[in-house]
Amino acid sequence: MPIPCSRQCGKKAILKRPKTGHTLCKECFFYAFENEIHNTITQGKLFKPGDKVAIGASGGKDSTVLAYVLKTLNERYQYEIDLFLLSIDEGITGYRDDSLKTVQQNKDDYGLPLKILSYKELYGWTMDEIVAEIGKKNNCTFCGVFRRQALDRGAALLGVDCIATGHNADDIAETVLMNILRGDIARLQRCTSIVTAGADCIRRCKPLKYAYEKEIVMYAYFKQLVYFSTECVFAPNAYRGHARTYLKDLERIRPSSILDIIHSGETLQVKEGIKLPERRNCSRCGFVSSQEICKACIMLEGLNRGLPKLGIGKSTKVKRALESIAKDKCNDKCNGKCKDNEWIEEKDLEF
Amino acid sequence: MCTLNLSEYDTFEIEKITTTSFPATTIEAHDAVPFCKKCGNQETQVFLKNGNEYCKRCFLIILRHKFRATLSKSKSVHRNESILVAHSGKANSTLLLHLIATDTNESISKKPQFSFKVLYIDDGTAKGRSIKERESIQSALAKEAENLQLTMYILPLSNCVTDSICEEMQLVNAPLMNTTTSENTTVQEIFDNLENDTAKDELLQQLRLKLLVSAARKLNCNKIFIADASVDLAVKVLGNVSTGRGSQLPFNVAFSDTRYKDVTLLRPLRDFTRDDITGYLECYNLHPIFNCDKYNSSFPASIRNVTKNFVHKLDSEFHSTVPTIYRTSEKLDTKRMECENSNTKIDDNVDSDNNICVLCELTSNSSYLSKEQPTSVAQAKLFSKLVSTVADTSLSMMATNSLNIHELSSNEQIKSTNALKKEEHQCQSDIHKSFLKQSIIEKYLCYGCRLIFLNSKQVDNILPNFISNAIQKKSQIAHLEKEISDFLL
Repeated sequence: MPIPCSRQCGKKAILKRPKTGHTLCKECFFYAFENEIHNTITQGKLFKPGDKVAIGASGGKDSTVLAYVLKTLNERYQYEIDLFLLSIDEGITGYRDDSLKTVQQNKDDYGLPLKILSYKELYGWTMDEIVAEIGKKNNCTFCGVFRRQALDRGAALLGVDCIATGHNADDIAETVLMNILRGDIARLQRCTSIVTAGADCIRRCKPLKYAYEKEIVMYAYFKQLVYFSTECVFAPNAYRGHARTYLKDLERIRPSSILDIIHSGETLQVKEGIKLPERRNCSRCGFVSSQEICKACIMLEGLNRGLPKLGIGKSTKVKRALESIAKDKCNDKCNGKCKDNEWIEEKDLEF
Repeated sequence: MCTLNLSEYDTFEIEKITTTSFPATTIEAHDAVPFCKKCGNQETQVFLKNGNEYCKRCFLIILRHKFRATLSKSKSVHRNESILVAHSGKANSTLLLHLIATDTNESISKKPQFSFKVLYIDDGTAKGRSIKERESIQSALAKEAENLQLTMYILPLSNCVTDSICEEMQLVNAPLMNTTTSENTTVQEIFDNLENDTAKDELLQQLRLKLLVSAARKLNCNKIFIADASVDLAVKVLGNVSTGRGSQLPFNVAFSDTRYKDVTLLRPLRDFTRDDITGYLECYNLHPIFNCDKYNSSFPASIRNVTKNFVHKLDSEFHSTVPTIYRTSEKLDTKRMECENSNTKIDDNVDSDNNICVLCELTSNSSYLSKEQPTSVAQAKLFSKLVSTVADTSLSMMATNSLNIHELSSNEQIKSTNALKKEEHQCQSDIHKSFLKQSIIEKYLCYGCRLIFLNSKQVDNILPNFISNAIQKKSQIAHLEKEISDFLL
C-alpha cells in the first residue's frame, strides 16, 4: 500500500524525512527543506539587502546544496544579496584538483562568479609539500588552520560582507561533542552560534545549521546536483572519527539527537569567572587570533624553519620554541659559540 | 582488618598496556623489580594507567585519602549528619559502601563522624527481572549489609506510582515486600508504552532519583551520597548533552547537586578512576552483586549505553579523555535568560517555580529563547514539524509569521505553541489531538524530559501519577493566577 504524503497533498510519499520521520513526496520535501533554510535565514537575520556573500565552496555536497539553495531562495524571496563562490585550493593531488572541477561546474550551472585561492599563493606551500614534510599524521591540523584563515583572506580580497559556510547540523553536533572531549570551552560556547562576527572581522554564517546531512544528500540526489564525494586522500582525523561514529550511533537510536546535542550547546555557557582566551588580532598577519601570533603564522614559521611539528604540540612548547628561535638568531650572530646549547634546544623541540 | 595482614600477595595487573605505553619509566627506573612509588620499599602490586605503581598498602591509603579529601574540601558535610548512600549493586557503589563501612569501623581519631543509611532501589520490574532473580539479589544485599554492619533499606520502583511514597521504609533483610501486582503492572505499562530504550532508561533514572530523594526525606537524611566515579560522570556529561540536557549538566555532574532545597546530592567518588575502582575491589577481594556482563544488558539500545561503550573505549585508548570531559563540565553553566522584560507580572519566585520541570525538577528551558538568540533548536523543530505536516502553504507561512511576532513580543515560547495550536485546530482534529497532548508535555516538562514521552504509544496512562498530579496542581495555580491577574500589581 502506498504511503500518502504527510502534507496531504494527495501524492504518494517517496521518502521518510530523517529529521522528523514524516513521509513526504518529492515536491513537498523540496518545499519543506527550502522553507526551513529560508526560515533559518530570516529568523537568524543572516543577510542584509545589498550584502556581498561569499559561499565557501569545496565542491562537496554541503556547499553545492548551499550554493543552489541560496541562489534559489535569493531569487524567490528577494534577499537582494550578491552571491559568490569562494574556493580554497589546498593543493592536494587526486582530491582537491578533482573537486575544483565540480566547483567550476557549479559556477557554470548556477551562474555565480568564482574565486579560487591556493595555499601556494597564500602561504607558499601546498598540502602535498606539507605532508611530505611532516608525514601522514597531524597534517589535518595544518590544513584546517590554513583553510580557516584562507577563507578570511579570500573574503577580504573580494570585499565581501559575509561568508556562508556549508556546516550542517551533523557537523555542528559533532563539533559540540569534539569540544567537550577536548575540553575546549571557548569553542564549545561559540560553535553553536549561527553567526560569528567580531568588530573587525568578516561575518560568517551557517544557513544549513538545522539541516541534517542525510537530508542534504537527499536534496542533492532528487535535484540531481553534481557534487564531489571522495574523502580526502590524506589520513582522516582519527579522534574526530570516534566522535563521528558515536554521533551516527546516536542518530540511529534517536534521530532527533543531533538537534538535541545542538540544543545542549545552545543552552550552555561558560561559568562566570572562568578565564577564556580573548579574541585579538595576530601581530604578524593581522587576522583573527586567540594568541599574540596566530596559529597559521606559527605553523608557517615552523615549516619555513624546518621545524614542521611546531604548532601541533602544546602552546607552552610553542612559546619555548619561539624563544629558542629568537635565541638561535642570537646564536647565529655569535658565530656558533654556544653550539652545545643549540643542540639541547633542538632536542627540546622534538615533541 | 584489611588484606594487608594476609601473607600472600597475589600480583595483579590492571592494565597490561602500562609496560608498552610507558616504556621509558618502567625500564629506566627499575629494571627487574619495580618498587612502590610512594614508600619505595614494597614490591608493586598495583599498576595504574597513568604510569604510577604502588604497593597495596600505599594504594589503599591514597584512595582513602582521595575520598576524604573530596569530602572535606567541599565542606558540605558536617559532623553527626545522617547520610543516605545510594547503592546500585555495581562496582562503584560497592566500593563506596566498603569505604564508608571501614571508615566507620576503624577507630582513627581524625575521621569525620557521620551516620550512614543505605538504600537500594529495586528496579527489577522496569528491567524485566523475575521475582526469583530479585529475591536472590535481595539476599545478596542483605548479606553485604550484614558484613559491613550497615543499615540497608530496599525500595521497590513501583512505589513511585503509589501516591503515598514509602509509608515505611523496609529493611533489606526483611522478606521481599509483596507489592501488589497492580502497582507492578502499572509500572510495567508505563515502561512498555514508551517508544524506545532511551526513553525507558531516562525515565528509570529520573524515577530512581525521585525515590531516592523521597526516601532521604523519610529517613531524615539531608545528604545523599551517589557513587558516581569519574567515568560515570564522563558518561553522564556526554549522555546529557546527547539527550538535550546540556543546560542541566551543572547539576547532574557537579560534586554537590542542590536542586532540591532540603536534600543535597553529593558525589564523593568523582575523582576515582576505573583503575582505582578495580584495584580497590581486587585488593579487598570484593565482588559487586551486579557484574558488568551479567546485568548490564538492560536497555542495550539506549543512548546512555551507547555513550558508556563510547567513553569506555575512549578511556582505554586515550587516558586523558575522561578527566578532560568531567573537568570541562565543571566549567559550564546554564545559560540564563535575562529577566528584563518588564511586562511579566508574576514575581520572580512564582515565575521560577513555574519554569521547573515536574519530572527532573530542574529549570525547564522552554522560556530560554531570548532576543540575543534569534534562532533555536526548539523553534527549528517546531517549524520542521509544521512544514512537513500542514498542507496549506499560506497557512504555514502565516504560522511562521505569528511565530515570529510572538517571538518578538514575548520570550515565552508557550504562547507561540498556543498560537500554532489554534491554527492547527482549523485544519485537522487528528493533528489537534496530538498537539494538545504535546502542548501539555511541553508546558510542564523540560526539553530533555519531553523527549521521553514525545513519541509514546499512549498518553493517558503513560504519565506516572505524581507527574499528572503535579501538572494538575500547576495548571490550577495558573488558572487562579489568571483570575486575579487584573488585581495583581
